[in-house]
Amino acid sequence: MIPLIGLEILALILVAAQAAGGVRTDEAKYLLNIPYPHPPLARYALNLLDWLPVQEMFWRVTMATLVIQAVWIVWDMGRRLDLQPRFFLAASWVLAAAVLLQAGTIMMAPLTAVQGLVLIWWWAREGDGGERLESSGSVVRWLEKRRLAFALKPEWRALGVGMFWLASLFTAYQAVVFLPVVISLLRRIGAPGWQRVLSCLGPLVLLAAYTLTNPLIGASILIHGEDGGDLSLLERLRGVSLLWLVGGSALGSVLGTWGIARSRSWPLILSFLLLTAFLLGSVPYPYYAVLFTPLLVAGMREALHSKTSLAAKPLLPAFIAASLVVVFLFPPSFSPSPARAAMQAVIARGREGDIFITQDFGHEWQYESPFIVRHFRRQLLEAAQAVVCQRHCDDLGFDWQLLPVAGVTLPEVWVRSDRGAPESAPAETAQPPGPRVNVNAAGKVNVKGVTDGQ
Amino acid sequence: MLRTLPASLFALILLALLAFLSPRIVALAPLYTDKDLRGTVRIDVRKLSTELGWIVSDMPVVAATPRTFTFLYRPHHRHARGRPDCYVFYFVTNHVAPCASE
Repeated sequence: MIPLIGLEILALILVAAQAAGGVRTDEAKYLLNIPYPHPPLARYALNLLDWLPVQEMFWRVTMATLVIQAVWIVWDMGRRLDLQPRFFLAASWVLAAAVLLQAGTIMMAPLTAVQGLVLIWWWAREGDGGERLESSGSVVRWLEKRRLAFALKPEWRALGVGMFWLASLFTAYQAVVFLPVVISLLRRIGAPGWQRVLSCLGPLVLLAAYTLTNPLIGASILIHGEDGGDLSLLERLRGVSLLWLVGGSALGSVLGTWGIARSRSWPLILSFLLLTAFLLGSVPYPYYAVLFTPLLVAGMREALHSKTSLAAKPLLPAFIAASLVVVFLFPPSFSPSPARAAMQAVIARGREGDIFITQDFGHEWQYESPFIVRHFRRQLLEAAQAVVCQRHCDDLGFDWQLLPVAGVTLPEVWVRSDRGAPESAPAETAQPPGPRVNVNAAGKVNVKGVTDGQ
Repeated sequence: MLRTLPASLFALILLALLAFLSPRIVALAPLYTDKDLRGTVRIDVRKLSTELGWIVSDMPVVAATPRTFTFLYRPHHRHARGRPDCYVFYFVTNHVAPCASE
């Protein structure tokens, strides 16, 4: 119980560190279920609690708990090790720089990392000879008591793998890097050949089909590809190397990679290579580092299992020191976005209408707003209750005034002047937010603001 | 029979999900088979976004034909309620109309 509570305290500390920076654009994208760049499963679930005032904090705590308490899976993976190396293995997950930096975020990468860890654990379990799940006495007894012992048969276990694989792929595309582990896991389970093919490829085909239903995903992948288009191979290699270092806190990165290579375990090697290729082909965003962690932990397990008698005692303090250095070198952002302060000042006025924002802006503005957020268009100002100018704006007119926002000078927040304006416009005369639809002389229904080609 | 039940169940789940996705795939198929149409839709979505101030990720395209494309307008913000508005964009007349008025 004490380790459980200690781990939860660590999770809460990591949540506090991340919450200080407010909601980031990617987090807002998932919390609001904005339909790109990932498939819908996790972002749909995150958005289900939109009604909750503490939605952000709830999910931060849940995600951090999930990532940190996943250490028990690592603990089980090391059950054949002595106590000291087993502690080191568990620490290599929970104290990895990437886990410390990512656990409190509402991102898909840490979720995929946990899903990858579960797949690797399952794969290791099925391969550990007499220690398969089916031979685990307590599990068998629990299932038999509920007349569920049939679930231990290979066909049903393969169904479980297929469903988990489907859920992982529909959480985030990057889960595909664990395909070699899934293939090997289904082989180890001993499911019939055609079921193995169905469980492996079925979810991939479905993911491809989903992608075709959402052109925004294809467009965003292309845009991200173009974003990284001007990176040279050397810069990409440097970026991926940094992610690899953060993923295992340098020491674990070296030891884990050595363990993977030494084990000659093709699922781990292929997944590692797939991940490296994926990162080389995309922009090496810092949050991808945690994807290396489950693979490096598996590699470290192999290294610690080997007969090279690695001394675990000095490894643990060295690993902790390395993690601290890496976290110190790449700390999370503590400077909050001005979106929250600005939007709270606007909300406090109690008016209705859209929020217009100049220049490019992140999704965090949408997350902090209960009103429709739009790009600034001067000709559409009648629909706006506030204009956020990310740079200095020219005077918007006599009925607009600057709203002071505590601690924020830029962006400027302009709101409709109070002079003569009603506190809250009556429903009949209030400008409805969003598009105006009207009928033109020719009887065509047009959206105001769109040039009619007639 | 019992041996094939799990795989059959899984296949059924996959097929049900595929059947759920199929109408949208068919509706969007011209977008993937016609490069010119794809380019035109992209330009017009950008144009609409620019003119209306709408965020592109708030207006997913759900169907396309050589003469029109259909998109939803679902502004994302806290506590957003209600169904998204549906619009059709006509390439020839360069105008937008709500789906219901078709």
